[in-house]
Amino acid sequence: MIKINLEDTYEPVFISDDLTEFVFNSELKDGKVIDLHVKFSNIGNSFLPNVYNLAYGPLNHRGEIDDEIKLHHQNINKLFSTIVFYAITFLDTYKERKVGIDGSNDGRAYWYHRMFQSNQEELEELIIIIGVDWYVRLLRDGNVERNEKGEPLFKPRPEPFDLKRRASDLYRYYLIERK
Amino acid sequence: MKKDIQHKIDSLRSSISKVSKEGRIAPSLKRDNSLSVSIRNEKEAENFKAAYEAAKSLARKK
Repeated sequence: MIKINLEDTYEPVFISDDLTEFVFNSELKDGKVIDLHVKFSNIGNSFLPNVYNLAYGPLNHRGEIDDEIKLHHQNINKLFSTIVFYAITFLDTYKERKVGIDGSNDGRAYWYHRMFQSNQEELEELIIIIGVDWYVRLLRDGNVERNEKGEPLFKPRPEPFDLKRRASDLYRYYLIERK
Repeated sequence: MKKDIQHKIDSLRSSISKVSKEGRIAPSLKRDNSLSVSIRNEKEAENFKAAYEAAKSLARKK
C-alpha cells in the first residue's frame, strides 16, 4: 500500500518558471541516485485546452522522459508523495487546468489507482479525482455505433473515482483538479 | 492539514528563482493520449465537458 504524506517529499533540484516541469533526486534500492523528471504537458487537443498529461521518469538516451521504465525505488511512499505534491502545486497555480493520467499504456496506472484508493480521504481534501471509462453505444437495431472506418466508436465517460473499484478493474484515464 | 500544505505550496512556488534552471527541460513526449484521440470535434468535447462537470458535482457531494 502506498501511503501519501505531503509533508514528506523530496526537494526539487529544478523547477521550470511555469511549474510544468520539476526534477528531484530519488534513491533506488541498489543505492544509485537518479534524476527524476515530473512533467505536465498540454495534451494538444484544441477542444480540451486545459488538460495536461502527467509523466514522470528519468531521461532516456534521446533526452525524453522515459515514463515506462521499471525502477525499484528505495522509498515509494516519498516518491509518490512528491509527484502528487508537485501536481497539486501545478493545479493550485493554474486553477482552470486539469492533470490527466493515461492508464492505457502505462503499467503505473495500477500504482496510481492503488494510491488514490488508499489515500482517498486525505487527497479529496485537496483535489477532485475523476476516473474515465470508455463505452460504445448500443443502437436500437442491435448494432453498435461505429466510426467512419467501421470500427466500434468508443466514447469517454467520466465518473467520480469509485473507492470500491478493484485494482484489477482500472480506469483507463484519471483526471484530477484542485478543489 | 490543508493550511500546512497550502503554506508548503506557496514556499515551493517562491523558491523557483532559487532553484537551478540550467539545461534541465526535457522535450514533450510524442505519444497519443487516450482522451485526446477520443475528442475529435466540438460536439464530442461539449458532451465530455458536460459529463465531466456532472461527475465533478457528484464527487463534491461525496
